[in-house]
Order: sequence, then C-alpha cells, then structure tokens
Amino acid sequence: MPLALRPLVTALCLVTPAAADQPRWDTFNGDLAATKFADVDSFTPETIDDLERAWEVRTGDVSDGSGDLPETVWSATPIYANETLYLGTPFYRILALDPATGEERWSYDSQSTLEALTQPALKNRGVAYWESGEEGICEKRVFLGTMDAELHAVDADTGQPCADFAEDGVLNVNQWNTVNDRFPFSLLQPPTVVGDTLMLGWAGKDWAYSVAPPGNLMAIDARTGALKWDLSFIPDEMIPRTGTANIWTSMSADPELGLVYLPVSSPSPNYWGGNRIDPIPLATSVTAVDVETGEVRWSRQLVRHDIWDYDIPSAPTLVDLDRDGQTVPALVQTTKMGFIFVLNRETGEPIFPIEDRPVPPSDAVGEVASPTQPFALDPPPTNSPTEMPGVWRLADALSFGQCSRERAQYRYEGIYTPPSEQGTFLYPGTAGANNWGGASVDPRTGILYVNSMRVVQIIRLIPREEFDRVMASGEGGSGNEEGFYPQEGAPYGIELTEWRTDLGLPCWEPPYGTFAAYDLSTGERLYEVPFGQSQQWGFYGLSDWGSPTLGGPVVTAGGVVFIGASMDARVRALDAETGAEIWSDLVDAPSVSIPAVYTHEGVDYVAFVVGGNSILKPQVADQVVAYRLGQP
Amino acid sequence: MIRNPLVPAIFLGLIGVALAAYVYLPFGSGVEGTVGALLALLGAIAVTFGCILMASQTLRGVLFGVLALLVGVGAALTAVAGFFLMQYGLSVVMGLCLLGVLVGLRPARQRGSV
Repeated sequence: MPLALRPLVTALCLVTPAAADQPRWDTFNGDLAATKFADVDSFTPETIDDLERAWEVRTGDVSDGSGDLPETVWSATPIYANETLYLGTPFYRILALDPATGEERWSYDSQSTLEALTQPALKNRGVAYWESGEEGICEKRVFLGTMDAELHAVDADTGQPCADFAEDGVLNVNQWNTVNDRFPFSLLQPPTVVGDTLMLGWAGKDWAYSVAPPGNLMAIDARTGALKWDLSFIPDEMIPRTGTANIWTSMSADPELGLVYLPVSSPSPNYWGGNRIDPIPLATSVTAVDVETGEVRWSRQLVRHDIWDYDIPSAPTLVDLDRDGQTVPALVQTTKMGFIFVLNRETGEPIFPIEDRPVPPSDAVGEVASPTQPFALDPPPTNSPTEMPGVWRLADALSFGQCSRERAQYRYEGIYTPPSEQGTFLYPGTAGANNWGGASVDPRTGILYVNSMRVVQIIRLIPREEFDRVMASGEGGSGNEEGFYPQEGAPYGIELTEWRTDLGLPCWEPPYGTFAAYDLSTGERLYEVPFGQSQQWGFYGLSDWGSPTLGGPVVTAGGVVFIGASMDARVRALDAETGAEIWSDLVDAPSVSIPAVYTHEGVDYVAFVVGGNSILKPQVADQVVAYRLGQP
Repeated sequence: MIRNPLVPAIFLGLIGVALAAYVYLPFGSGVEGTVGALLALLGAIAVTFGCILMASQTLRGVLFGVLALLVGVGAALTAVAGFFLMQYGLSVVMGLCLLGVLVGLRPARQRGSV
C-alpha cells in the first residue's frame, strides 16, 4: 500500500469499525462493533431476483418437546472464519461446514446434559471464534457454551478439544457460581472475543427466585481458561436480598478504546422489587468496561428499579456519526421499551437528549416504583412509550366485547405502568419491542435498520397464598414467556398471558411488527413499514398487519437488508432505501437469528439458521440455508 | 352418473382434496400440520362428499336444498381458507367447484343439452 494512503485507510478503519473485519463474519453480530453490516455489494435490489439456494443442511438437533427432550430454540448466527462455517446447535454440538456446499467437515459433541435446567427450552445462540495469530494446534479455536455451565474449546481445524484450555478443553464456569447458587450459569450465548479475552455472561431463572446468583461478567483467558477478572453488577450489601442483573446476550467492543460494552439485564425477581428498593446502578444499564482491568469506565442506567423485565437485550451498535461537521464516536442501544438510546461511547453522555419523566406509582405491597424514568424520544422510539395499541374491532366483535371489557379492566398508563394485582397491560410485552437481534447500521451512511414487535401481554401479581393454591391445583403451568412464575421469596407470584380472546385472536389492532430505518445523524425516522406476516392456526394475516419478530437484520453495502425473524417462516431481502420486500423464501420454521453474510472463494453468500421459537409459534426446525446469486 | 351435471364439481372437489392433503401433509407448504390446513382438508372432503351425495339424488326436496346450500357454503369457506393459507391453487379449485355446483344445479334447459 502506498505510504500516502495509509493514514487515510487507517482513518477509514477507525471511522467504520465494521469495515476492518470484512469479509469475515466471525462474531455473533458480524463484527465487534455489532453493526451487522456486510461490505458486500453484489446483493442489490436489481440482482436480488437471481438469489437462489446454494445449499441447505438439517442438523438433526431439534425437538418439539413432545418426546423425552425439551423443545429446542435455535438462534445461532453462523460464524464464517478460517474458511469454514461454524455453528453451535441446541444439543450443544459444534458443526464445521464447507461454506460453499454445506458439507460437514467435522463435528464436536459436548455431551452436555439435554435438560432445560434454567430455561423452558434447550437454547443455543451459536459459537465464538478466536485465533492467536500463530501456527499450530489450537491456535484457532471455536468455543461453545452449554446449558450446564461448561465452556468447550476445540481446535477450529480438527474439532479436537484444546488440551491447554482449562481441563482438557472444558471449563467448568459453575466453579465461580458460589453466591446464591440456585441454578447453574447457563452459557447459551457464545462469549464475545476481545483480543485474547473471552467476555462471558450467562443466563438463569430470573422469574423463579427473589434471591439468585448476582449477575457478573467474567473475563476468561482464551488460551488457558483462567479467570482474568470478573465484575459483579449487584452491590455487595444487596446480594443477600436479590440477584441476577446478568448479561445473557451479546456484547460489543471498541478495541481502539479498550472498552467492552455490556447490555445488563434486570435484577430478580423480575416483576416485584420490594426486596431491592435501594439503587442498583448497573442493573438494566449499558455499561462500558475496561477490557484489561474490568474497571467500569461509565455506565448509564436505562431503567430505574426495573420491575418489567426490561433487560437490555442486545449488544449496543457502535458507529461514528457526523454531527454538525464533527465525527462523534457513538453507541446505539435498542431496547425492549422501544427507545433508541444514542450515547457517546467514550463518555456515556447522550448525543440526543434523554428526558426524565414522571411515571405512575405502584400499588403492590412493599413496592416503591421509581418516580421518574429516562425517556429517549429522539430518534423516535420504535413503539409508543405512552399509548398501547387500540382494541381490534374484529376480535372485539367476534368475542362479543371481551377485548373492550378487558381494556377497561386492566391498568395501563404507559410503558412504566407497574405490575399490579388488578392486572396491568405489559406493552411492549416481555419479549420487548426489540430483542437479541438488535439493529444493524450502515457505517458509511449512519443509517440504522431495526425490526420491532407490538405484542400486548397482561401481567397479574398474584398474592402468595392464592398463587400457592393455583399451583397446588395443577392449573399453574408455564411455557416460553407465558404462564405462572413463582418469584419465590416475594409476596407475589405472577401470571403472564398474551392479550387474546377466548378463541385465540389478538385483542389489539395490528400491525404486530414493523421494520424501520433511522438517520442517526439527524435522529429522523426515514420510514417505518409493516414487516412479515403473522400466523394463527396456519392462517396468514394480511401483509399490512406485520408479524412479531425475533432475530435481527443484516444490511449490505449493495443496499439490501437480509432478515428472517417473522412468524411466517420466511427469510427476506428488503430494499434498504424503502423497507419494501424484494425477495423471500419459505423455510422450515421462523428464522429467529441473525443471518451471516460472507464471501468464500470469491462468491458472496447469505446464510440463515432456521430454528424456530415457541414465543412466536410452536414450530421448530434444524435447518441451515445458504443463498448466493445464480446466473441472471 | 357420467352424464350427471355435478360431475365437474365432483372432479374439482377431488382435486381440492388432493391439494388440501398436500398442504396438510409434511411437504413444505409452510402450513403443514396446522389446524387451518386440517380445516381446509376436511372442508374439501366434505364438499366433495356433498357433491357426490347430490349427484346420487339420494336426497330430495328440502333436504336436497339444505345439502346444496351447505356444499356451496363449504366450498366458499374452503376457498377462503385456501386464500388465508396462501394456497391459491386450492382457493381457485374450490372456487371453481362452487361454480360447478351452481351450474350443475341449474335446470337442464338453462344448462343446454346434457
């Protein structure tokens, strides 16, 4: 490279952190900045009609829950690195596939127990990849976590365990689960690899107990499995009374600043906080931590005294923005509440204003809701923070007014209406407006793309005696984000249901899901369109009703967005400029994951994991499908 | 029977049954195994059976009229179900089946020679 060009290229890499990693897709979000941007220009609105299946694979690792095994939930992002496509499965196996044909090169079985120890399902969101930069055995590694708290390291070329990592390639992470250890640290999300350090969070059962393991971040040496440092998110004095505030989702990092950005979840129990009235500043926050030391550089709490399970659900997206002629290092956090927080990632200070607004008080026993909450109204939220969707007249008529009666019966005064014995509408629902798929951003334009869902649930706090009676009667089952949950140690259990008629029709008016684009430099929403099609009993809703979505989008340099996520089990390409659907294909189940876009031997591919999730509908699969452009 | 004016409707009903079975069984229709696909299959079977019953002239008078009404409504609803299942072929076939029933029930002189 000519010397004169080097500063320019260096500057470009700094301004657009995603571009530096292309054409690999070697992390959960494509790159450490979590942009989900693919610097691939062959996929365009003009060429997309030529997209065809290159290959598909069925792994065999699937269960609908009807047999001996719990149901599976598979949301892995395929990892393209080392000229191989790596996948984790919900049976906790690693598959290494030929990226051009899907042919299996090797597989590794962790022999993990296939019990849903902390979750309603066997879940997996994939694997992580690390390479030392040197030649030799296990200088390139694939990491897989398991439900029973083991982290496996295997050689990326052969699939053999890396003997120098912990105990013969297996790290028992539960050895550090020593406080309030009610359940194992389930490693469902692959670690985030920053340099030679694995940033590791975990998932637990935050609806079950008041006192639970305090959430923490563990920094693990990628070569040895040694714990470098850990950071707890619950103040010491509160640990006897509460727990969690864990990181169950992916993280992002800025190696230049030496910071890893943490989306921290809510404390336990989820829907009553009388045991944790004192501030827990790191809970439900986005927090920046020094990669080397674990020191908190800055933290911004996005929900105070969270009693809605508004976990921060996805890695914040890092992008440099042009603001008034200045380049600002930004961090964009999409949320379950629908707010899009845009912060300076060096300082944590807001780039767009965040307003403290009064919110309703709680009438639950022992509860003291925060009197105010931060509202980020610019860029406009994906979902209204003050209004829930209206009653759907068709469902109301078919249910002889059930929807109207319930609308009048239950409490709703905006997104921060506290749970109550009377019953409170939870909107957005517990799966949130946005979830682990997060947003994608084109770092060249600063335009953010995000799918969101509009699902209304009803949460009811049930006094302990009544709850115990319900459970004893055998009527108190629970499913995936729905049903009865004990909140043991609290004066209330909870019942969570979707707001539907007795016939099963949604009581709220569509759309049920949208796709939107935002100009992050101005905060303006460029468009918002219904996305996907909902389904009930197999019948599709109208296209302008949209669909609830789980999973995230990928935007490419050619102006195409790839996304699965919808109920109707289609994977789609959208025109990034308008959000219009320009291509789709039917797959085996909803693709509740983030697709991977990669270039292998000069050919561009987009690969979707198709696993399903009963939050959307009871349809599971074990399919991986890769597409490429055929001959026009 | 071969000269019966309801034969085309029966034939279309049978095609509808085959299409609905394909939609319900695990062949990748996107709605296989769902309640909606099962309803469409049962609807197509019921309509076809109703057409055969009408063609056999087992029922007469009011009962024949009621059966004809039920077959017509069934064919229409199955066509609508096909539309919302995104099985437009099924929708068209059941729509044509409904048309076949209507044409078949017209008096012979209005149908022309049969």
